[in-house]
Amino acid sequence: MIEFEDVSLSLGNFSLKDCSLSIEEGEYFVIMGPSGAGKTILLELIAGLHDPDTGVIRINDSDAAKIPVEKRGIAIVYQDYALFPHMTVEANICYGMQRRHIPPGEQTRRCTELADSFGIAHLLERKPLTLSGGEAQRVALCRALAVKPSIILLDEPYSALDNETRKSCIADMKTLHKAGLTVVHVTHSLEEAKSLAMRIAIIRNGRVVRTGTAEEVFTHPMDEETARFLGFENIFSGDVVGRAGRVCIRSEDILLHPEKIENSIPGTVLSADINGALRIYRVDIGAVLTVTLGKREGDYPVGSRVFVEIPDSAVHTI
Amino acid sequence: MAKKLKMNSFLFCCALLGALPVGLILLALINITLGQLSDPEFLWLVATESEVVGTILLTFFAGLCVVIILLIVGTPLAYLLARSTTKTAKVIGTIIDLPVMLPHTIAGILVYLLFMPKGWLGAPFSAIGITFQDAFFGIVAAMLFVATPFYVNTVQEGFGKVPVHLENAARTLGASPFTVFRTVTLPMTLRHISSGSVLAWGRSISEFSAVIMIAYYPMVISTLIYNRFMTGGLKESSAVAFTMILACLLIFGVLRFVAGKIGGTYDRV
Repeated sequence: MIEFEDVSLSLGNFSLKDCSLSIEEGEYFVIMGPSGAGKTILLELIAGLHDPDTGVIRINDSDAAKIPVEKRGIAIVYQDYALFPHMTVEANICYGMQRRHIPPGEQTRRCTELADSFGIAHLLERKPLTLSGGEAQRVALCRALAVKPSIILLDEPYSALDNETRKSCIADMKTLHKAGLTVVHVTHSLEEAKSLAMRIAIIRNGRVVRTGTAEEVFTHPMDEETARFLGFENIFSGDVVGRAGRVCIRSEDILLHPEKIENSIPGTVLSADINGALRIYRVDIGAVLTVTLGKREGDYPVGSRVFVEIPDSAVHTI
Repeated sequence: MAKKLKMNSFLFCCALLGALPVGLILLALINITLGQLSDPEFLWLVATESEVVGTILLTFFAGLCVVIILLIVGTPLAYLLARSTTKTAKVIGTIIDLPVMLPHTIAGILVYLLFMPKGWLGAPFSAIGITFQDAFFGIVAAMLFVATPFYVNTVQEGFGKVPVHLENAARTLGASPFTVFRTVTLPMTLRHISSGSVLAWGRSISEFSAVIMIAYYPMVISTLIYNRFMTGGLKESSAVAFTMILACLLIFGVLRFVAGKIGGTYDRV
């Protein structure tokens, strides 16, 4: 278990302020936030690569400050994988095992086993600079797993991968997590967070602004900026559909109809944009709403009159 | 992989202007070579003279001592300077660069003041029987003074190119800071270390003004050439010079070959 208690650290342009959070054993914990929010610093604090200016970090109830980096049993996979370019893939994977004085026979066995299960057995003799992004990602993961860490830290591990590879890497991570690994995963991708997270922390300008289960965070973003970050395009204050205060609505949860139906609001289409198979409309209903529809859900030209249906379940109060 | 350059008018102008410095060096070398080859017997006589051979070997050896010292003390300094962003590091970097800016006679005076028998460092050393004035150690001290910036700057640049997060990843995998340095940082910097060493060695063996201030004797090759020029004239001194050119070409050829085999470039990390 990892616990942060009012941890602050400032490093040049980046800083982390009064950060408190706890990550349970066996959890898949996702840290989200815009670039430069302090996500990587948070991971490096867990790994012990920085010491906090103030506050305490506890790992399994003992003060982390007393455990040196190399003894924490926490492995990190960086965004650009940080493979050692002067070593072969095999030497990279065995690096941590060598440091732990695991007998060479056992090293080879574990390396082959991992390489087989990640489909990189044919790459063992290659040098990292000759690998593709997906291959390098898997090598980095194998290298981290080879030391049997209790916690693995992933720093935007899939940001440089194409869609296909990303999907299969996400599937790999799911399998590993099910096998009992604690994962702390930093990302700014909503898709990754949705498909992997058990709990989420949102960090902005060096502060943890929201923590909770994936469900809680995605339905109750708590404040406007977080709501925007989580993909809520429509944020209003006042009284909307019988709810007072500030509310946010995802554009894809709103429906448009050509004819009036019960509880619908009349409006005018201000603009219509095509985004792949999606249509993105801006509709004036007194306020301007963004609405995302599938191609088959109707085609409304600019200026046409529409009736907007906002299901009760789509409205989230902030 | 060598890519063929597509010629255009700008590149042609670059080649035209660039031909001047190359031409100058080549012309000078061809000039002395033809001169020397016109009297091969005299050249052979001078080149095999024990004083000439001994002086060249002494110069090379003193340069080697400088490189060994720099490998031991310059490498850690370069690492610190590459990793530190503090003001102190910047100030130290500037101090290290000073000998490059200073005229070498001034470097010679500085070294002499420090290492002369009554100097701050010379006095305690002479108490234990080590002298610098007109001695081998004096030559090494003067060479070290002028060669240090060349080594430290080159190696510092190499360390700077090793991403810190590679070292971080190695730490989390169980390596102590020294092991990280030994297994990750150093192997990735071998090319810079070897070219820094060659530069420092080259700078050392070519030193004249800083060396003669503290140690006219034993003569290094520059001193000997100067000495022969003043006493024996141009013919004799240019024969010694040509011998040194041949020795240098040989050594640098070997070094370049060896250095090419060491390490790799990892710019795309």
